[in-house]
Amino acid sequence: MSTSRLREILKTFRRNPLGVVGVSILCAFLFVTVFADVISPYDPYERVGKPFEKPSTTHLLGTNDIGQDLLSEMIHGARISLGLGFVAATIAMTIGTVVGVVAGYAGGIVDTILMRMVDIVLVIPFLPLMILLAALLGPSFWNLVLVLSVIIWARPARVIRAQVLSLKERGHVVAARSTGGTVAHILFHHVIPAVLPLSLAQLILATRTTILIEASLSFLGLGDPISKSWGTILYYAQARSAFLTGAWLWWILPPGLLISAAVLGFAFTGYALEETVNPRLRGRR
Amino acid sequence: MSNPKAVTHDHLVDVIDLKKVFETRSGMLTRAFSRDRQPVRAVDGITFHIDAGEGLGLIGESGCGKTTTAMLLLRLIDPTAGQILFDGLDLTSMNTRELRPVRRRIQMVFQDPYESLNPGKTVSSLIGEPLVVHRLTSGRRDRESRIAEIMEQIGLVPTEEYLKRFPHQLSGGQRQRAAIARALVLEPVFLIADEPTSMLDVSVRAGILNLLQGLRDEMHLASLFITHDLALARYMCERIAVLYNGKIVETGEREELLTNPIHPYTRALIAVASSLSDFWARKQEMITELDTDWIQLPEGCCRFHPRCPHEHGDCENREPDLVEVGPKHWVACHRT
Repeated sequence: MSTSRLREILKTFRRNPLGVVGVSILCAFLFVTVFADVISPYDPYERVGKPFEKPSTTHLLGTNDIGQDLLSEMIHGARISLGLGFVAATIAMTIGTVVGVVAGYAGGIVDTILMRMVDIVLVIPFLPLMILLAALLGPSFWNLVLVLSVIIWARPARVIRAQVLSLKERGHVVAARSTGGTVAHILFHHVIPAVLPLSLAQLILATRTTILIEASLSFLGLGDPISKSWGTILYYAQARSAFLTGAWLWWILPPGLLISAAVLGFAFTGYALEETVNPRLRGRR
Repeated sequence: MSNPKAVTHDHLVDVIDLKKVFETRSGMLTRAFSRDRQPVRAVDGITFHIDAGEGLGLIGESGCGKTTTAMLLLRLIDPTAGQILFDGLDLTSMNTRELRPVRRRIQMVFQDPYESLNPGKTVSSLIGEPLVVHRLTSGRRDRESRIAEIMEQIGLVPTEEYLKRFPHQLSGGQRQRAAIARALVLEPVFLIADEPTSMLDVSVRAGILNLLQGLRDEMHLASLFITHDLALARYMCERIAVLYNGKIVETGEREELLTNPIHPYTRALIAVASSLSDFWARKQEMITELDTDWIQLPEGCCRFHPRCPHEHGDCENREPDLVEVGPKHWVACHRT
C-alpha cells in the first residue's frame, strides 16, 4: 500500500470518535499484555495466599480456590485471550483473503465452488460444531486456534470477494490487463494492495469474534484448562460456585468486564476502519 | 478493399466480420416470469482494416459499439464470432500467454484518465509498469532513464517534478499524458485511443490531440481513434468509419466522406456538427432522437430505418450490405 493512501486513511480514521475510543482501549490492552510480568503483583501460577480470600490490600481481587492471586490471573489472562484470538483471526483472515481474491478474480467455476464452500461454513450452527471439534481434538491452545479459524474465514472471504469483483472491472485493472500484465502481476500490484485495508478491518472484527468464542468455549470447559485465559477463570469460578457465594463480585464480574471491554475495543476499531476504507458506509449510524 | 471479406496481409490490422453478442443473463425465475430479453448484439459483423501508420476514425453515438470494438481488438473481451488479424496473426485464436507479446505492440489510451491510472502508484511506477511487465529494461537505472525519456517526449516536464507524484496530484491533461506515456513506452505499432479527450477540459484537449498526432508521425503509429465528434475524427484520421448500432454504415477517405456523405446517418452527423449558418440549410437532414430501444430491433432489417428521414422501401425487410460507391467509399443503404 502506498504511503499517501495510508496517510489519508489515518487522517480520516482520526476524525472518527468511535475509532479513537476503540484504539485507546486496544492500546491499553496491548500495554497490559506486553508488560504483564511487570504489572501483576504476583505470579499467577503460584499459591500466594489462602484459598477463597476476599479482596484486601494484599490481594486486590482476592484469591481463587487454590490461593492464586486473581488480579494477576486476569492480567496474564489478557495474554492468552487476546493472543489466541489474534492468532486465530490472523490465520482465518489469511485464508479468507486468499479465497476471496481467488474466487473474485478467477470467477466462473472456481468462484462457484469456493462460494458454495463459504455457504456451507456459514450455515453450519457453529457453537455445536465447535463444541464437537473442541471435544474431539482435545483442549489445547493450537486446537482452539484451529477450530476458531475454520469457522471464521468464511464471512471475510465473502466481503473480500465482493470488493475484488468490483475492483477487477476498474479502469486501472483493465488497463493493466491490456498492457499485457500477467494474472500474478495484476493480483499483487493492483488487486491485493487495494483489498488489504479492508482485510485489516475484517481482521480486527474477526478478532472480536474469536475472543468472544474462545471465552465461551473455555467457560464451557472446552478450552485448555491449564492456561489461564479469561474464559478459563470464569469456568473455575462457575465450577467453584462463585455465583452462589457472593464471590461473583470479584471473581466473575472483572473477567466479564475485561472480555466486554476487549470486544468493544476491537468492534469500535473495526467498524471505524471499515468506514474509513469504505466511504459508502460512512454516516450509516 | 475490393472484397471486404478478403484476407490481405498488407494491412496491419484486419478485422473480419467481428461480432460480439452479450447474453443478458437471468435466473430461472426471471426467465419464467418476465418477458423474453433478447441478447444484445453490441458489435454485429463489422469488417475494416488499418494499414501501418494509418489513422482510422471510428465514430458513432453512445452505445453503438465503439468501445466494445476497442475491447475486442485488445482481446479484453472475447468475440462471439469473426476474426482479428494483426500483422498476419489471428488474435481471436490465441490464448492469454500467446497474446502477451502481441499486447506489447497494440496499446490503448482509455477514455477516463481518472479511472485508468492506479491511484496508489506514482507516475514513475505507472509509466514503468509496462516495462516491468514485459521485462524490457535491464535494471532500475535503465528503466528510470527510459521513463524520463518518454516523459520528456509526452511533455511531463520537468520530469523530476512529476516522477514521484500520485495521479490525484496531476491535472486531467497531465493524467492523460501519463496514460499516453504508459501506452507508448512499449513502442507499439498500433494505438487505440478511446475518446482520449472526452473527459478533459476543452482547454487542454488541443494539447493532447496535437501530442497524439505528433507521436503518430514520429513513431509511424497506426491508430484507431474512437470518438463521437466528427471534427476530431477529421483532424486525427485519414479514413473514417461510421458505426451505427453495431454495424458500419459508411466508410471512406476523410475528405470524400465529409464532403460527399451518402448514408442518412452520416449526413445527420455532419448536419449537427456543421456551423450554425449551415445548420438551417441542413435542417432537413436531422434525425429524431432515439425513441425505440434499439436492442429490440429484429434481425434482417436496416438498423437505421426507425430513425431514417427517407421513405422506407426494402428497409424493414432486408439488411443493406456495404456497397462501393466511389474509390474506397463504402455505404450500407438501400437508397444507393
